[in-house]
Parts: sequence; structure tokens; C-alpha cells
Amino acid sequence: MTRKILLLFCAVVSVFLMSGHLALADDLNDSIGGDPFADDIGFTIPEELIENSARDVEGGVFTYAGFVESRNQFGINTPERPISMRQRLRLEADYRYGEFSGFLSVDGNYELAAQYWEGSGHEALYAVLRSGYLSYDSEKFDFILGSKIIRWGTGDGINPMDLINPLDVRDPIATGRADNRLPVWLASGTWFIGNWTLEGVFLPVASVEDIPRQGNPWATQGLQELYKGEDEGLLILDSQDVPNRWFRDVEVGARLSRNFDGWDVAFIAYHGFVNSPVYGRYETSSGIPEFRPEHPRFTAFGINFAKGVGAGTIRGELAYKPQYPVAREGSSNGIGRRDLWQGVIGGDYDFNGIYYVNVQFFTDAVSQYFSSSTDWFIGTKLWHGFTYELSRKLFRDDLKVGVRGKTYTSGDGGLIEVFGEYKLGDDWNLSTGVMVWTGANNGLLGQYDNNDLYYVTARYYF
Amino acid sequence: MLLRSRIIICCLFLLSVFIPQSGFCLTGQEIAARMDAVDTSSCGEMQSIMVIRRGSQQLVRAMDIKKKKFGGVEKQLIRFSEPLEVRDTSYLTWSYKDIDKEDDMWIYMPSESLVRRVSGGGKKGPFMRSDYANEDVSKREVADDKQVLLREEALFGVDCYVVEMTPVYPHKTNFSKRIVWVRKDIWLPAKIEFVNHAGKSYKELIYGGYKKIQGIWTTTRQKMTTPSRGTVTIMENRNVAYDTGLSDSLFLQTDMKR
Repeated sequence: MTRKILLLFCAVVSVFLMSGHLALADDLNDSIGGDPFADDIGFTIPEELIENSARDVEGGVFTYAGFVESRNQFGINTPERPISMRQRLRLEADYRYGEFSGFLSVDGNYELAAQYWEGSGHEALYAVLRSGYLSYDSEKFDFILGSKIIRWGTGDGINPMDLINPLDVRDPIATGRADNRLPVWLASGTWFIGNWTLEGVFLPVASVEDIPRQGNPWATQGLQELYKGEDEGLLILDSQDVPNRWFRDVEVGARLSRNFDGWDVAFIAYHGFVNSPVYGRYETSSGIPEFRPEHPRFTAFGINFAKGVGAGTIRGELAYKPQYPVAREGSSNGIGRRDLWQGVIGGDYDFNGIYYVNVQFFTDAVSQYFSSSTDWFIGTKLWHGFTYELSRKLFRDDLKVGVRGKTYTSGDGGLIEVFGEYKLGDDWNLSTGVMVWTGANNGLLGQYDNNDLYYVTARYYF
Repeated sequence: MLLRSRIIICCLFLLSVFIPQSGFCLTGQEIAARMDAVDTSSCGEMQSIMVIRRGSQQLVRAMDIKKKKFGGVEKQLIRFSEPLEVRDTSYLTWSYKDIDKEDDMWIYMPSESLVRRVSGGGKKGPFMRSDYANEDVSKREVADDKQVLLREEALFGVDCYVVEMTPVYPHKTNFSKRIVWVRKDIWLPAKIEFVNHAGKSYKELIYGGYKKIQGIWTTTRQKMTTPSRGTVTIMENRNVAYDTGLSDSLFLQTDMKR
């Protein structure tokens, strides 16, 4: 009887083991039943759909891509003179070989509107090397050498410590709250030290903003007055004093960053030349004053942070630029040095991936601007304002519509953009919108109120 | 009599050992924990191809995905190679096991050479205009849901547990619950039915392409259907490899680059 019970028990256990209920993966083969896609029925991805440009070349991987774009901006106040009709071809290629890689990005541009601009010497056809660099990427250390854009900052569109790349004065406006920058020649190293990251940037020659040519729609009000004064013989506008001596007019920067329990924090220091020129005034023997665009040296220290909070993010930046060169009526050559403080605080909120709101407040404070007192807060000049975006995505993100812009509450005007962006399939991007500048003519943004425009852009990727 | 008692005790002991492994009497939470334990690797990488079918339109996404587990956090880096508009754009996500802790997310935009922290609100939005939401492609912790075993039934000829998973924080997700068919043999999902906050079945995800890779059962094919929109997204994971020795610095936001 006992033996029968034992046999019965063994039989039950054996059946149990063989029934496949036990999740012992090692007992199974590399394929398994009950797979609805095992025979490709109802599941096929045609290889021809995948436009992979990657090619194996000499043991490495070579890829290429590009786009053609027609970006057209028409003046609302000046219908006879288009602001820009830029046609662009961008070609990009990169080659990766183990820890080494090279990247090249070149723009060929044709500005059809140049013929309508006042003044002379506007280039219609021009090329821009956007990026051209070699990089080494290892576990503890990365290195980059070449021409590149590197942007530092956590804010959206306003980054007081984003000092490496100068503004593209030929085409400065990217959106209602963002600008366009130009690449610079640099060497950059990144070290990963535990949870910390240390980045160093060295520019062997400074790269600063050119001054827009006379008649360029983006020439500032002050520069236009200088051009006009020169035409009338009231002043001399000297050529731009550009710091262009290789390995002498250098710029250096460093950023130390880490994530502290959800907070991205970075400490930044930078020494270089001011990107936007200040105009020195000098007396000449003829008695006609001479104005010279200059780019004095300066040093800056800053901190920035960002933190995710639920469906939103908060961001902030603070910069201190001691003895920063500023335009001052009272100084002998019109340029004075004063402490500059800049701050940005704000955040964004994403409502279910459909609505998006972004608001940031900013301020610039120049101490002793109106005073020679040694107390830094005496005679402080303040600029302040806010940036914003409110947008909505429709049709499973195919269409994005919204409004964004920047407004000075210190009386320097504002810029508002109403926009729509549409993705047609994977290859086409279409966008349109209106940009309107408001405020007094002598305001930082109000000075462009004659440039109110609407735009139509089409881009095709290949 | 004594021998019979000993045999009965032995039987009970053996049954107590085998029954839990076989899946009888498991709770929904235990099933979810079994699913979570399938991937025993410390890190892994793969290439994913996604095809989105919307009427006559077909959109293609291609991306490299790298994952690594750290203490209390799983980090995932997705880098796109298609569409060309977002080529070399990267998303980095740190998903914490502690569900009260917000996930950290960053995006690298190559055209600007800029790394930007992004908010968690976008998790509910569509992933690259597909039928997937961003939350569908990120790691979901067992503790994110309350699980209830509804029934057992066969699907595609395989015995499955049917588990209802209700989010602990419903406002953080698009769905009031997910009904998950879990294969009893390899503890991987066979199907997920997504129920929206109106209580209606909104979309359905079918799994397949099961392969044992380096001893780890892996699903390599998925098909997401949204009947109300008439759209379908199929995704295939290729070149899946585990324990490839990915370095920690790959998952730092400061190392996101082209």
C-alpha cells in the first residue's frame, strides 16, 4: 500500500514537472510556442522603409544626411522690401571609428532679399561651416577639437552664462524667444569624476559678433544713427576692433556640474571678450569724433540649476560679471566698467503632452551706472522682463500652434510671435507665423518695430 | 499508520515547494514581481525599428536604446537615427524605484549642442507621433500599480494570467487601468489592453517575437493598435544584447552628445 502511494506521488510530480507549468527557462528552447509574430504574419517591417544612410567604411561607420529649406520673411510695414528670402542647403556627414569620430555640417545659403536691402556689400550667396570637428569619447574623458556650437545654460532662450558662441547678426532671430548663434573654433575636454562632470573650453582665437552692414534690417538703432552720421560727415565710424590674434586673443571657460538628488546644478566661469561690441568715442585732430566698435575683455562667474517637479520643470540662472564694459556717457571714451548682475528664474508645465506653458522672469542690473559712488547698489540701472510660450499640439503632434515672445517690463519693448508648425510625414516640416515688435524706438526690442514680419518656411529632409 | 502520516507530511511539504513556483495561488502583485524579475541583466542595449501606419501614411523611427540598472534607479538612453529631423537627438531617463520620487529626463538637441531638462508632463504625450505614449516606452515599476489577478485563460494557445493593473497615482498616466495577459511559462506579457479614464478600452498592445537571449527571455516584437484612430504601430527590437559592460558615464546628462 505504501509503495503504491509513493509511486502515485512520484507520477503526479513527474506529470507536474513535464506539464510546462514550471518557469524554468533553461528547460526551454530559444524559440517558443504561442508567438503571434513568429512567422511574420501580421508583422513585417520592409527593409526598404528604413532609410539608413550608415555605411561601413574602413572599419568605421559613415553616415550622411541633410535638408533643403526655403525660409521667407516679409515685412508687414515694408511690403516692397522682404526682410529675408533665404534658401538653404545643409549637408551633414559623420564618421565613427571606435572611440574616435569626426563630424561635418555645412550650410550653403542664398539670400534672395539681399538685393532689396539698402546700402551695398550685402552677400547674397554665402556658406557657413556650422560644425567641423574631431572627437574622442572614452569612459572617463571626452575631447573635441574643431568648429562647434556649445551652449551652456538651463534657461529657455535667456542664458547669461552662454558666452562661447556669438550671435549670428545676419540672421539673429530664431523664434520669438530664441536667437541664432555661430560656431567657434575650440578645444573642449570633459572629465567624469564620480558624480561630477568638469568641462573645459579653450578658444584659440576669440569669436565675436560682426556689426551688421548698413541697410541690414537687424542693424541696431544706435548703429543706424552712426551710419547716418558718417554719411552726413558728422562722425567717423572706424573699422571694428576685432580680437583676432590666434593664441593671444584667447577665451577660456569651465563648467563643473552634477545632479544633486534631482537638481541639475552647474558652476561656470568664463574669461573672454564681449561678443556684442561697445562703441568707443575718440576725438580726432580734425575735430570730428571717431567711433570704434570694440570688444573689451571681461570675466564672468555663474551658477545655473534645473529641477523636475511633477509635470513641470523649474529653471534658474545667476551670473556675476565684475567690471563689465558698458556704454557710459560720463566716461572719457564712452565706455565704462561696472559690475553686472544677471538673473533668470522660471519654469514650464506640460499638460498631458498637449498643452505647454513656459514663463521666465529675467533681470540685468548694472551697479553704479548713474553714480560714481563706491556702494555697488547706488545708481543701479535695471532691465527686467519676462519670456513666455503657450502652445498646443494637435493631430498626434503633427501640428503645433502657439504664441511665444519676450517683453521688457523696464520699457525696452517686446516681441510677440504667433506660430504654427506642421510635420508632413517624416520628410517635410512646414511653419508659418507672425512676429511683431512693440515699444519705443530706443528700446532694446522696440528698435526693430519696423521689422514686423510674417514668415513661411518649408524644409525637406533627405 | 505512522508511515502513512510521514508520507502525507512529505507530500504536503513537496507541494508547498512546487505549487508557488507553478503559479497556483499567486496574487496579482506576485505575478507582476515575477515579470519584473525576468530581466536579470545589469545592463543591455538594442536597436529598435518602429513603423507607424496612419491611413496611407507610413512613418519610420529607428533608435538605439541602452539601459543600465543602478541601485534604486534604472537609466535609459534613447538615441534616434530616424526620422532625419531628429537624427542624433537623445533622450535620457532616470526611472526611480521609489514611486514618490519624480523621474529625471533630459533631451539633447544636436542642432543646438544643448542638453535640456524636460518635464514629466510629457510622459502622457505620444512617443514620436506613434500609438505609443512616452510612458509606454519607459520602465514601469511594480509599485506603480495595484495588481489584481482576474482570471486564467489561454491566449494564442498559451496559458496566461490575466492581471488588472491600476495605477497608484492615476493622474500621472493616461489610463485608469491596464489589463495584462501574462504568459505562465516565461512570465512575459502576451497582451495589454489599455483602459482610459472614461473606462473604455482605448488601445491594445500584442507582444511576440519571444527569444531567449543570453538566458533571458525577451520579447522582440510588439504591435500597438488604436482602433478609434485607425492607426497601428509595429516595433521590432534587433541586436538585443545583455550585460555588455556599458559605462556609467553614458547615462550622465553631461555626456549626452552627438
